[in-house]
Amino acid sequence: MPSGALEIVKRVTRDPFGLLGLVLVIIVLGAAIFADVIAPYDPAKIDIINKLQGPSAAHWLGTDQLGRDTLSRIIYGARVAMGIAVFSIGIGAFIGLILGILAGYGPRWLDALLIFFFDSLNAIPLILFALTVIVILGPGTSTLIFVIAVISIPVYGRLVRAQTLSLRRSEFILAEQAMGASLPRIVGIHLLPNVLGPLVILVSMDIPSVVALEAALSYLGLGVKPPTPSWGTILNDGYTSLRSNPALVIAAGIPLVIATLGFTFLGEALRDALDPKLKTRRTP
Amino acid sequence: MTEPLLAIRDLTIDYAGHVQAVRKANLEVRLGEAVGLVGESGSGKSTLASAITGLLPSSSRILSGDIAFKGQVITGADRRAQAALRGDEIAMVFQDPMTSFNPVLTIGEQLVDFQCRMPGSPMEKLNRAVAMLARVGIPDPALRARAYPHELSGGMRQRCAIAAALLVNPSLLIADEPTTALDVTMEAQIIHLFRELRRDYGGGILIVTHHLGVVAELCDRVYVMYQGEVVEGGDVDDIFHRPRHPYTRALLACDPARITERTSYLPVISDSERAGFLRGSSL
Amino acid sequence: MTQPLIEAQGLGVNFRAPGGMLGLGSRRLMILDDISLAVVPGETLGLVGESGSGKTTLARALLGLVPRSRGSVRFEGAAIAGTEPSAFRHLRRKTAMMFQDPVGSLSPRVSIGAAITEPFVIHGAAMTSRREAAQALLKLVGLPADFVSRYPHELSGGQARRAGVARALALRPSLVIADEPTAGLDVSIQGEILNLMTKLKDELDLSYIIVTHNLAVVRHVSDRIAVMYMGRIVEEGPTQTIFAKARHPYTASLIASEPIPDPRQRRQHLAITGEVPSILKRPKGCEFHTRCPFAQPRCRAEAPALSSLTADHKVRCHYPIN
Repeated sequence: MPSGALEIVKRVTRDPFGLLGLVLVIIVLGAAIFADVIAPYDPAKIDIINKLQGPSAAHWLGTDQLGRDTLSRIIYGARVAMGIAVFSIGIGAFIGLILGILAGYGPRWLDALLIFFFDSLNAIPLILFALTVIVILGPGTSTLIFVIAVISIPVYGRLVRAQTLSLRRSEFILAEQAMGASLPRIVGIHLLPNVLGPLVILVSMDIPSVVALEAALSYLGLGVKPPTPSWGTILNDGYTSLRSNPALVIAAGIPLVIATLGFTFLGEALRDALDPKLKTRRTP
Repeated sequence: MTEPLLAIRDLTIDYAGHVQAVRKANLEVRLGEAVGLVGESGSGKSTLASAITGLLPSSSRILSGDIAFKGQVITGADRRAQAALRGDEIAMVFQDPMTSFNPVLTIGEQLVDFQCRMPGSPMEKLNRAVAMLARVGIPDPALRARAYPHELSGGMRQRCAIAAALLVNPSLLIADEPTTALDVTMEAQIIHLFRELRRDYGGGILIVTHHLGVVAELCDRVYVMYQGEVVEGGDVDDIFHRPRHPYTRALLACDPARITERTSYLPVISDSERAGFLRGSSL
Repeated sequence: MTQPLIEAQGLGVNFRAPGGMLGLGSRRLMILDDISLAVVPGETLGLVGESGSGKTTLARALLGLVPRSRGSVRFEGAAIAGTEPSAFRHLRRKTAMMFQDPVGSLSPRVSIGAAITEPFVIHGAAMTSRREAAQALLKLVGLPADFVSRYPHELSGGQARRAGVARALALRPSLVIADEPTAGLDVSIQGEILNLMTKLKDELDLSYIIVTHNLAVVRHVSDRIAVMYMGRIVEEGPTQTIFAKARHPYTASLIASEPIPDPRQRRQHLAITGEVPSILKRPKGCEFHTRCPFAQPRCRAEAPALSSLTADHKVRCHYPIN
């Protein structure tokens, strides 16, 4: 975008909630990317002697029933959570974007066909679909990514289609047609940037629910397989040892709260920042 | 001299952190008279109209001056008193006849609802509504009362909006760009309707518009606004034929509708002229 | 006679109105019918009508933005074969269209400089540099050079309209079709835009088709006007002749409906009552008979054809006003 990413960041951080959201998101993403560097212990290292300890100087958030360092597991869990969220939503949003533009800008029969496709996907209950796929493909990270990507396609596809439909009737698109602009030019230069804004907002607001979904499925034992650390499995471990070490379950909840709040605040701030009409006017 | 129905005295309104939208504005409307408030976009005429009806956006505030209705100052009065006054005494007709009605209720239901503060059974209210629809020139009023807003044309809806405004028998009717969204032939019919209604409606009418033709056709007196200031006010004939303020003169001169001889170049208002308008203004 | 720049003959446009379950009840709606008009080089034609008269559809059909259902369009003497966008490529390079909404017809996330030089890119036309070309165009329409990096929402209506004019003139077209060029502008700004268009017309040898509902506008800028009602041209002739003596009752009532900004010339009588019928239920015979003050039995039964009164004045009426 010609106005520049820097300008958007500036506008996001002008809003205190946007700034908070950005900081929280940077913490979560930072933990995911630099897990190897910042985690004090190997998350899979078992140390039975020090199992189920409360917070201490050596283990800031204590240890679990196998003596693994909770902080390290949470940090590595961020990598799993973010990896799944970014990949699954990225794939879903990308396919949704393409299908949505095809439906909104293409011929009417294609629109009808794609709407039917979106409706069919929407009609499948999420948990039922997830369980079926897990039964067929077996639990694991790639299964989760597949499930989430598939169910998010109609959500993004519909949003993009609605945006495209209203834009295609707008005068600036008609003006391009009148000038004889080619289809790729109209779609790429004039349609896409205007569709992308709302999509980015929706994506950033959807990330927390994907993180929560991953945690929920992992908690049920249907998501990430142990010993890979996931916030859901940590929560599950914490639940089984709730009586002996309540710190564990609380510690497992914190990253979920941070990620949810961070992405929600950031999404809302982005929505305001990306609306061209809300930009500060240079002329009084 | 009788007391004016509406009197605005030295009213100044500003928007948070911005220039004053209205500066020391003075305006009067008397019973039985039609007053025009003209100005270009950004002149402050809509802000002034919103102030009268108490619909100012929350980012604005009245810095000084007051608005008196029937001799009683209403600015600063509490919201409930203002709401009661708006319902009983001041009615409004908006520019867009599409959005002035709730799309999921029939015209008749809404016209009955507008009378919620008036006495009478629902049946009486419906009869009153149908009679009013007939009064504003709607054919088959009983049938139209059962129609939904989208089933009526723009001109029809604007007639319904006028009927709705007149139902409560207000002493002041404010019409904000009542013909701007309409076609020429429909505009002429709405102007004609307003003129007819004036024969038996004794209240005051304030017409806010940018359209000099509407003012000339309908109003007894006119106020001209420019950049937040009421630069001139007076009898409609004086304003159109003996304008005193340079802005009024320039505005009249550049209206293409006033130039009947074909010219290849139309008069415009130059920037240097604009800069001079507010210096040494007398009002 | 000089060769017309653009010419339409018997042009008609139908839309399909959706209706019924699964579109089974859809029906063909006639939006435009029997449109014949021509614009010669250097001429300005005003296309006048109320909303729903089909004037905007006609402007778009001339450029092939709306596919025509009947009739032909000729540009510089050559007939346009087919209704595909490719058939209109030459025409679109030599003509430019200005849309109604000054700000809304500019792409919101594209800078003014990029927007007004887009025609060069689209048609692969040579320009020195994009920035220089943009600044030259801005100068042409009287906008400051630093508008190159502005965005549409930062412009006032008048400024955005000037940018629209700049974009329309980028490739030095021979014909500009302007849809309501003064819509949404204050009267003082309307004059500025019309003056700019007149000045550029003389400088660049342009022809205009100006689509508007505003009679005051066409009166000053157009040489000839065509009045439309329910998708047909009902009267066409030199501007001065029509304003002095309109022959079609609709034209006459349209002119008489325009409020005059002079309280000494108030109108006491309504020139026209009722409203335009729905195109879903076109009246039989002459379509204006439901509102015509002079309607006769013949008008209800038989549709009049567009007939010539003089060499350059045509009217579609059984009983033209005398």
